[in-house]
Amino acid sequence: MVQDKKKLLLMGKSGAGKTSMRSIVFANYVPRDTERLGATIDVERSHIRFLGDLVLSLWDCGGQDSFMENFVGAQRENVFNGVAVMIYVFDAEFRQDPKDMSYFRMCCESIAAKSPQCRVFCLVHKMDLIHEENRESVFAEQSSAIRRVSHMLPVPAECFSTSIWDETLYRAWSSIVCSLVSNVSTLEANLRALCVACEADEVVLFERATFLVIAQAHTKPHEDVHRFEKISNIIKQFKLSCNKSRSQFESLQLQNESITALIDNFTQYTCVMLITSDRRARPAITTFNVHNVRDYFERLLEQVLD
Amino acid sequence: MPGSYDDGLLYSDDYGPYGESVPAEGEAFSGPGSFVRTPLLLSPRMHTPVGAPSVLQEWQNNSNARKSSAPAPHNGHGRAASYGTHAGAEMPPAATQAMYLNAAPEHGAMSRLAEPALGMGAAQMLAAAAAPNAAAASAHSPGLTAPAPSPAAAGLGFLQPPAMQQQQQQQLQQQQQQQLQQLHGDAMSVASSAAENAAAAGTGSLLAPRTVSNVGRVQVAGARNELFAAGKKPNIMMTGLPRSGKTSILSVLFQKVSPHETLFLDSSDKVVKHEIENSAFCQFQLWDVPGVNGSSNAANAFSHTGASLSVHSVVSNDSVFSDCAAVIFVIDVTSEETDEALQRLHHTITRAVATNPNVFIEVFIHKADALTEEQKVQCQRELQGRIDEELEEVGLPGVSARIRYRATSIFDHSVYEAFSQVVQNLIPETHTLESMLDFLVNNCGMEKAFLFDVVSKLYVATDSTPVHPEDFELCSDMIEVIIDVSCIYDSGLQDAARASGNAQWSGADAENAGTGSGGGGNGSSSAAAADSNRAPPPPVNFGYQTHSSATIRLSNNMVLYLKEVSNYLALCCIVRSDVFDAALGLIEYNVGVFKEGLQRVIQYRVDSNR
Ligand SMILES: Nc1nc2c(ncn2[C@@H]2O[C@H](COP(=O)(O)OP(=O)(O)OP(=O)(O)O)[C@@H](O)[C@H]2O)c(=O)[nH]1
Ligand SMILES: Nc1nc2c(ncn2[C@@H]2O[C@H](COP(=O)(O)OP(=O)(O)OP(=O)(O)O)[C@@H](O)[C@H]2O)c(=O)[nH]1
Ligand SMILES: [Mg+2]
Ligand SMILES: [Mg+2]
Repeated sequence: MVQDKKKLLLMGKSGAGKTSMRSIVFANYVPRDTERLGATIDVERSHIRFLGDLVLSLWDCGGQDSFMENFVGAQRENVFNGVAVMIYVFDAEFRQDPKDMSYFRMCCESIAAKSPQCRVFCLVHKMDLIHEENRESVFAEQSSAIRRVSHMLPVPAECFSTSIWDETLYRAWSSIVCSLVSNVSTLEANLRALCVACEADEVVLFERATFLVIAQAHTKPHEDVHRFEKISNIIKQFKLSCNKSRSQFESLQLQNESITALIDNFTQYTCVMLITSDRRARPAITTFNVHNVRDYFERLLEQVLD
Repeated sequence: MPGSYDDGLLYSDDYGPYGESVPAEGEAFSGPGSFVRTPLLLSPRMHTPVGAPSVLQEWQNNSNARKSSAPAPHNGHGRAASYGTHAGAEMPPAATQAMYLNAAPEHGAMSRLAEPALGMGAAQMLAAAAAPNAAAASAHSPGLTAPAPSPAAAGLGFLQPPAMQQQQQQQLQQQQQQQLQQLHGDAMSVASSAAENAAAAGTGSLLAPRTVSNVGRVQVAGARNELFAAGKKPNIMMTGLPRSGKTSILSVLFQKVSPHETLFLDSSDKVVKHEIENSAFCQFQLWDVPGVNGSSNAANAFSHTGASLSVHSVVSNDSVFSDCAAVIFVIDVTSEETDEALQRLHHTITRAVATNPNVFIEVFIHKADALTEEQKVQCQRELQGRIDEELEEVGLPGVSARIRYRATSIFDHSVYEAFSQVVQNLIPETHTLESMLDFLVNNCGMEKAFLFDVVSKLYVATDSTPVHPEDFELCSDMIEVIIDVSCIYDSGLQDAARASGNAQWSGADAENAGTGSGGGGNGSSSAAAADSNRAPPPPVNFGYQTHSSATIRLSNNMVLYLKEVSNYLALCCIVRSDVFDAALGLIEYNVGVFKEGLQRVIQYRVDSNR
């Protein structure tokens, strides 16, 4: 079987929160567990199977100066060759650090030279430590600084503001991971068909282990564009508390005055959420439909990832 | 070392049985057009609403009739009086009339009957009925378009109870009535013993209508669901050394501050009184009494507060204790000042008991997240040993029995569980609620049931089986999930949530103006100014009936079932999935009965506290 291996670099200043993020997203840490993490020595490589056939080879690069010098110096070939995605993490509290910016520039230069196809994501992290009313301006300022420094990149960097304490983490990582799934639009077209057939307002596909959003379709507008990441965060937390009592989350069904929500295991590696506001909708029929299209999506996902 | 997850769950060389049958090129990708070739999709809309089978309606009428002709709530009053308690402890009449169906196997037929009445069960049958058709349909009619009308209609036909069943139903109805009569009797006897319990629990001056004259400034936390007249609510006082975590506990429980944000809380310098007004059973006043460094110079330390009420004047005033139904003493296990804490605790206990012998004393062994399980047990044993000893020395050995020790931390569920138990002590109806829940659990074959105050996520009652912390955690997390998801999709709830996000918690600027000792003029005007700056805390979720219900299925064959049963109150049950699937209709019916009973308990509580 062909294996699709994608190399992801996770870089940034020491203490910026790189290991914390990946531990929460991929290794079922709760945010508070990250306080016990030590500094990363050199590079920690991990392989993460995502949606079955996609294998992420995640290079968590220690951010201390001696390591950084090494990465952009002696190890440049080794580190920056064949990279699919680079994620550079800035600590929002120390965002002005000139040394960090110069490392960032060197990394971008190396990427431009060695992996021109690579997409770069910049996370302005630990936003929870910035006072709420300043967050927007801090982020805008930092984004423009990032754009100035990274002008040599063939594919411009994308910026996100993140914190491990809220759903912004899932927003950023969903985008990162979706950039690796080539045929999201095909998936979304099929989800839309499911959505229409079930007379649902929206259908969202999540990766099962991480609960990152893969694709979505909706027939009704909703003002909160970040709602899916919020759901990711909510359900992921709940999954963790289920694990604590040695069981696993399987499905959720909610009905109230305004909506019916169904979150259910879907294909082997995904979960699906359907939201229906039609009050005559019968949840069991939705469940039945979801059950029926499982095999179809199983095959579809496999093709999308090929 | 981090990164220990390399060998974790996500990576394995076992690819799983995957993809033998890849669809032909072009078929899967041609968009919605090709979509209908996938197995049948039913329209979830059933355009003809399915009503309750007549038998159930009749039966409900019957039981209503029974209720109205049931003996008037006589037993409560007479008994309570003979126990010499005040009216607040009187038995609410509800439990005597709660009637449940029984899930015993011989009544299996009945559960089958009840099912079609209730959405989920009905639809499941529909789906099951349609399933065999589905394969056939998709084989015969390739051009089938979604939503497919015909199988849905076929399904509907299935739901109408065949005429043949009518007879059977009538028989069943008779059986049920007999059974109800039996149950009725049972309920009566349990209820009357519950009345005694409630009466006993009510002997403390929990609802003493004494007003506290020397604190003017009040913070309202939570839902602002004001049900009781001022002064009718029990007081809970929290005290302990500085930085022990009192304000943190309150803000996490009642202000929805996330635990890690409490790091930024300033040390309180004033007593703050919080009015907690959530569900009918979560109505009390909370006093956050800061620790004062060096109790001897307390007066000096706070003399500059002028018009504000100084900590010293509250702490030194014995009347504070006489107004308190419970005192929570918070001890920081990570602190070195153990001796000082013990001394203060001892002092607090003796004064509290001297002024109000019925006071509940709760010791929170706090910040227990720093301890292992064994350390928690050991810590509690040591502490208890020393306090018991000291109490013995001063001739108060009996008091030891009134003190409860609980290990707590704001970083897990322990503080919710501990506070729930504190609150339950102050609810005279606890035993009534418990026996109602017992009925529910026994008749439906449930494992566990909690009645939650959804705003605070405290449980106000549970059935009489022991509480396992994991069960409580799951239920409490479920409530959180349901509220969060509901908030995203319900604009009404959204507005409330947004408003609550704006209303920032700020203990430091809470004014305690209008003191009894004069100089109130200044204080009250500044308090008014502070008031206008702060957005009022909003009514939070489930404040209006959203008719929410939810189920979560877990891999260990358990189902969590949640149902909103009153304003701000939700019932959360743990049921085995085989039981749940076999008797959902029954469960829903019985929960309905519980809901009715609960309504009456609440009405009674509200009426008698106006
Ligand atoms: N407040 C806050 N703290 C965070 C956040 N993310 C991570 N942290 C904390 O930052 C600290 C350092 O995190 P790490 O993930 O070990 O940092 P790192 O980037 O891996 O550091 P090196 O391995 O030395 O390169 C931990 O104590 C985390 O708890 C965040 O979003 N907000
Ligand atoms: N580890 C841990 N820290 C806690 C816990 N509860 C509170 N804290 C921390 O303890 C510190 C003091 O908390 P406060 O709530 O301000 O203490 P307080 O009792 O109100 O103090 P005063 O107002 O001075 O009487 C804060 O930094 C909290 O973050 C807990 O359960 N575990
Ligand atoms: Mg690291
Ligand atoms: Mg305080």
